[in-house]
Amino acid sequence: MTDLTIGVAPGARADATSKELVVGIDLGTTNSLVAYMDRGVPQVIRDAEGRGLVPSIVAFGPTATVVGDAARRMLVRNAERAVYSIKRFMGKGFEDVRDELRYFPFDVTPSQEIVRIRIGDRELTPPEVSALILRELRARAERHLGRPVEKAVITVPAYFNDAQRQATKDAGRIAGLDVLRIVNEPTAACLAYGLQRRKEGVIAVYDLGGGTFDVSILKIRDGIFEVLATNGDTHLGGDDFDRALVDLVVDEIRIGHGVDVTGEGDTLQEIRLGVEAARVLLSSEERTVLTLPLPQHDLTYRREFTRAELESVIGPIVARTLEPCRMAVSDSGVGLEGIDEVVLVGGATRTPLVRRRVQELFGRAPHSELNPDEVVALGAAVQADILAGGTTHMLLLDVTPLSLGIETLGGAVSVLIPRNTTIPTSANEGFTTSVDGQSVVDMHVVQGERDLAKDNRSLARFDLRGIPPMPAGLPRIEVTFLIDANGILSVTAKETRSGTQASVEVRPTYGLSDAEVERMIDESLEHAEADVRARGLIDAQNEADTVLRATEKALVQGAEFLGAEEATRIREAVSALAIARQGEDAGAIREATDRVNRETQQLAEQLMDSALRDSLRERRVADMPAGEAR
Amino acid sequence: MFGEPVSRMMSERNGAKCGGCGAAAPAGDVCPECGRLQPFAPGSDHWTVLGLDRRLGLDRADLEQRFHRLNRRLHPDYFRLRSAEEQAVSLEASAAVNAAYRALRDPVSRVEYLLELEGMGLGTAGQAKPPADLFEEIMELQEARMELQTADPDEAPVLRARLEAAKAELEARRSGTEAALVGCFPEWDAGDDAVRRRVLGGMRDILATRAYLRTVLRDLGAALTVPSDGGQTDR
Repeated sequence: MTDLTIGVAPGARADATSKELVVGIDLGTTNSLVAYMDRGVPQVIRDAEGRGLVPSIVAFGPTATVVGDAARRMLVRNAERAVYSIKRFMGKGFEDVRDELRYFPFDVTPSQEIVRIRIGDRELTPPEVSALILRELRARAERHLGRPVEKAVITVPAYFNDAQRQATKDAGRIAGLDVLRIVNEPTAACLAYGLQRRKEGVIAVYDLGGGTFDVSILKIRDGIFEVLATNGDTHLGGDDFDRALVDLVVDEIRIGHGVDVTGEGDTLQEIRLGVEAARVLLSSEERTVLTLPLPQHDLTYRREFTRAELESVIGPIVARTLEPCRMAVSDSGVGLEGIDEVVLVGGATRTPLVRRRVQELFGRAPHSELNPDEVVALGAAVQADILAGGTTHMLLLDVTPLSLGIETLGGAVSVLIPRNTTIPTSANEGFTTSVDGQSVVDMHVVQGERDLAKDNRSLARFDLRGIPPMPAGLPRIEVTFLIDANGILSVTAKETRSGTQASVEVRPTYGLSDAEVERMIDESLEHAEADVRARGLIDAQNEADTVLRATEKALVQGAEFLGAEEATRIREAVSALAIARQGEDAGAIREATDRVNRETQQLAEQLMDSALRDSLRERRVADMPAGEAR
Repeated sequence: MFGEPVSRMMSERNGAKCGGCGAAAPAGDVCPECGRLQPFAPGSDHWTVLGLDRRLGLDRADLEQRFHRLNRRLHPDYFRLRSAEEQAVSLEASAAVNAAYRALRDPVSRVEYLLELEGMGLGTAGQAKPPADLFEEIMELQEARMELQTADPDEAPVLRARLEAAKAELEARRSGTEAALVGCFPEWDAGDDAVRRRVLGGMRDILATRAYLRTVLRDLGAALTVPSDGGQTDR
């Protein structure tokens, strides 16, 4: 047996028993995390400072793109080049998000299609931005585990529709990940709890994150986690608390100081970060003072907030989570009395008001033993391990959150797969032609609970092609709609009278075509190379600066050892490096740095010998104990 | 050498052969020889998929157990790292199990499915039939419903109360149809072809009544909830 740990970075504990490494990723609105299963125990992968959360922020700097904490710092200085809360835009059209754009500092290109974010002269779709966050998480996992990470499970809100799930999968592909499964966040959280406690019964998971809200009712029995019902709102979360507070502060600044800060991206970001910090503090304190120095307007906004005041502002938002809870309970068929436990997930559930409302509704105190910020990623790691063949005693049976239907004549919807149907699931529907010799039939697939197609989410239009010419009404085209375990739809069609396989051409309403995803994969690799190059240049410049400073110092300290010829050679090498340092050729800078290092080698040795002699002399004088040579 | 003819014989007997190695292998299970997942036979009905005889009287706990056991065997999670072909088999087989469980666990949808299999499906709601003994009462209710829309404020509460009471009664009647259906199950399960046809016809009538009540109740419900916006479009 070869030692599998050879080459593994210090601190890494790659699980040698599982052949396949699959990580679990929680791609959140505010923060993202990556976790993996370490010998049967899910672990969040942390950085050197012990932080597991990577802020879901991407900043497009002049030379390099940064993600996470580094990007967060850019948010207040260069707000229009930093993108956050991108999850709210996944699988959406421009028209869908138009009303909330005023809360974001970055530009979005108006169009009839999917959202495109404009950064300088670049345009990026939400899956491309998400891919940058995923790439960062992937790199973090690879550094920690010391091996390539190519497969992942990514979580999404349970109430995400097909387009939003597909967009998440596309993001994974663009980041170079094989996304083995899209898992629902509340379900993942339940897996993490289930692994830890191994209890049976009916559990309600209340998941209020940064931008989305889900509630799922699960039944756990013999290791099977069967989702009975799910409901939610993909546009409701802690972000909305902050927006309500930002609106309040902006109003008060206008009334109290006569200054209108709407439209000032950087100022709004400062206010947003300020109220967010105050809100978080009010989860544990009864009162706090919010101080916002706004030197650009010669004023300081200062205000005391009590928890009661906060609750009156966010109360209506919290109330919006209760109806989906009632719906889920009703759909689950177990009734409120049939629920054994309630689990809280998501950072926003730390808010005392949220806990109170949940407790009132379900009539029992909710659980939150596992860190609500990390539990989803831990569950994703468990699901990843199930797919990798590691964990076999647990199995997740999830449901599709929204009814799937097709538009019929007159604009009504004919439901093919009702909401809360266990997935995978399929449905067949027959179609025929209305004109003699017609070779194409088109259909419009929608998702949602409303009676009219136009009130539901348009997923795609499908063209069934290759129908053999026949009189109208004669062809029988059998269309199969299949929702896989990811909650993602695929459509196949067959003309049964002739046995011809009709081809299905998909025109996603708010999605990317395969060709577009392929192009983005290529572009992302190019940009990744550009980023690596940019970082390489910065590294080379930093090293050059260090060497130049050290050499200047050595030339002074070592003057006594230097021959004239040697001094000239060093000075020549130094000026060559100083010139290269001004340029942008990392290779040239490194070469010039090497030359200086070569020319100064002898001098450096002489200096070292002399320093050693000096230090030994000092030691003898000070009578220091041996073994502490410096 | 000796194993080959035997396995061939067995596969001829129960008609299922492993698509990979040709050994006898049960549908919806893994091949005992090579471990490949076997698809259900095309056109398998829901009972066959769950390993049951075609009966209406079913035990809910037993159904759930079969649903869990089958998913443990063939859920796509266990085939995610296998060949694309096996993944496809698992996806389809798992969808078939989920559909079977969903249709059979509820007595009403169980009967609907059976009627469909027997070519007696209700099809669209157009076949909904009013219960004979309630015909007049429902006609009166429809009138009252119309009146409510134009009633003046002092008349409305009386009409509303009458409609609420009628709604409660019809709801009780609707849940009664389920009990009536379940009451037919033993006879169908035990009967010969002629009995079964008669019982099936009776159950079809019960379902037609049920569909009718559903429509009436939906209209009543809509009339009793004050419309929040007039945004109704073409139907």
